[in-house]
Amino acid sequence: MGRAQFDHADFVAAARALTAERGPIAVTVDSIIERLKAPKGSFYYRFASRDVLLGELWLATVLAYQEGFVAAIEAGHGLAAALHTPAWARLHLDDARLLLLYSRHDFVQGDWPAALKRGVADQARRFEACLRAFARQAFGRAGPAQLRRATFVLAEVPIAAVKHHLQRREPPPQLVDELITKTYHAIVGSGDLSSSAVDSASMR
Amino acid sequence: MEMPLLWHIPLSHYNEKVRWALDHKRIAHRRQVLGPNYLFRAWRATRRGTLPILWLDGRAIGDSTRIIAALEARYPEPALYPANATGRERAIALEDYFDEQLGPALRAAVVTPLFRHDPDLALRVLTTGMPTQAYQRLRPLVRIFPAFYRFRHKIKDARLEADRATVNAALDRIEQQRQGRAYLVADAFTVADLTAAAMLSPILQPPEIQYPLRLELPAYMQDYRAALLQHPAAQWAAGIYRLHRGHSAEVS
Repeated sequence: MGRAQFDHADFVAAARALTAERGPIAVTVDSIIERLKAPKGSFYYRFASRDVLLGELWLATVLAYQEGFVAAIEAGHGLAAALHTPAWARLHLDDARLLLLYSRHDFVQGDWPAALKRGVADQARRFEACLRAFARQAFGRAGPAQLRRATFVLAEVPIAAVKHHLQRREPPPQLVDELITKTYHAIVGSGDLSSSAVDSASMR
Repeated sequence: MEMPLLWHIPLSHYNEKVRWALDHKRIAHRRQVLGPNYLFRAWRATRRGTLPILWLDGRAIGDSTRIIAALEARYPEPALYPANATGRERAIALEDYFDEQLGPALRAAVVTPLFRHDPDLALRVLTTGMPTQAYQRLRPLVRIFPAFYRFRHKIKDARLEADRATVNAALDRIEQQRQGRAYLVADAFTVADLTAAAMLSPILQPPEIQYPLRLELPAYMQDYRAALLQHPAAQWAAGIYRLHRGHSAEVS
C-alpha cells in the first residue's frame, strides 16, 4: 500500500513535478496517485477534483512569481520589475516553466474552481494595479496606450526573452537581462509623454 | 437545493458502495437505474464511462471513492472517515485496496464461469434490478457481449484461478487487519468496513441487500459461494451488513 501518511503538500509537489516533466495535461488523479503510491481516497479527501489541485498549484506559483514583481513596482524600480522574470526563472526553473510556458486555461479545464476564483481575481487585480502604477510613474498617466506600453515592457518582453530558454529547460543567461534592459530603456526612456500621448489618441 | 440523484447499476458492488454511503448518512436521494447503454450518458456527464455517478449540487461526480469523499465533505455526519489522521489514512488505504484488488477480482470470479458455461444466465445476473427490457435488449448480443464485457473490465478467462486467489487473499487480509476486532480500523464502522463488505456483496448476497439476485445460481457458483462463506472474513462481512446496512434513504 506504500506510505501510510500523505499530506496536502505531497499532492501539490507531485502535480508540480509532473507538470515540469510533461506539462499540465499529464497531471491526472491517476498519474498523481501513481507517482505518490497514494490511495485515491487520500487525494479526494484533500481535493475535490484534479482542477482544484491544478488551480491551487497555478495560483500558488503565480503569487510566488508576483511577489518580487510587486515589490519592485512598489519601490518605484520599473527596470527591476522587468528584470524580475529572468531572475525568478533562474531561481525557480520548474515553476517558471509551469507559469510561463502554459496558459492558466491549460491547468483548469472549464470553470475555475469556486474556492479559487477570488484568489485568481485578486492576483489579476494586483498585477493590473502594478501596471497602472508603473504607467503613471513612467509615462505620466495610465491611459490605454500607456498601459499597453507598460504591459509590453514589464510582461511581454521579459516573458518572450526567457521563453526560448525555458523551452530548452535552461536558466535564462545574462544576455537576456541585457536585451530586456535595452528594450526597457528604448521604450521607457525618460518617460516619453509626447509619443505616448500620440499613441493614446490613436487608440481611442 | 436539489436532491442528490444517483445514476447506478443495481448489481455492481461499486454502486452498492455509494448506495450504502448515502443510506448510512441518511441522505434523501433519488436513484435512476441506467440500462446496458449507460456508457454514452456516463461519458457525457463525467468524461468517464463508469457508474455510479452522483449528481450533487448540480455537478456530476463519478468514481465511488470520489463520491464518498464528496459526501464526507458535504454531509460529515455520521462520518465514514475516522477523525484522526492516522486512522483516516489507514481506512482510505484499505478502501483503495478493496476497490483495486478485491472488487475487480470478485467481478471476474463471478462472471468468468458464468460466461464460460451459461452466458445467457450471465446476462440475467448482470441485469439484476434493471427493467426486463434490459435483458431483452442484451439477449441478441449474447454471443459477443461476453467478449466486450471482458475487454471492458480487463477480465481474462484463463485467469479465473488467479482472480479467485486474489479474492481469498483479500479475505485473509481482512482477518489480518481485524485481529479479531469488530472493525477494520479502530473501534468504529468506517469506509474500510463498508467497502470490504460492499465489494463482497454480489457473491455474499446478504439478506439486507437491496437488489438481490432473483434467480437460482448453477451448482458451480453455489459451490464457490459456499466455499467463500466459510471464510471468517465473509462471515464478518455478513455481520457488517446486518449491523450497518440499514434502510434505503432513496426517495421515490
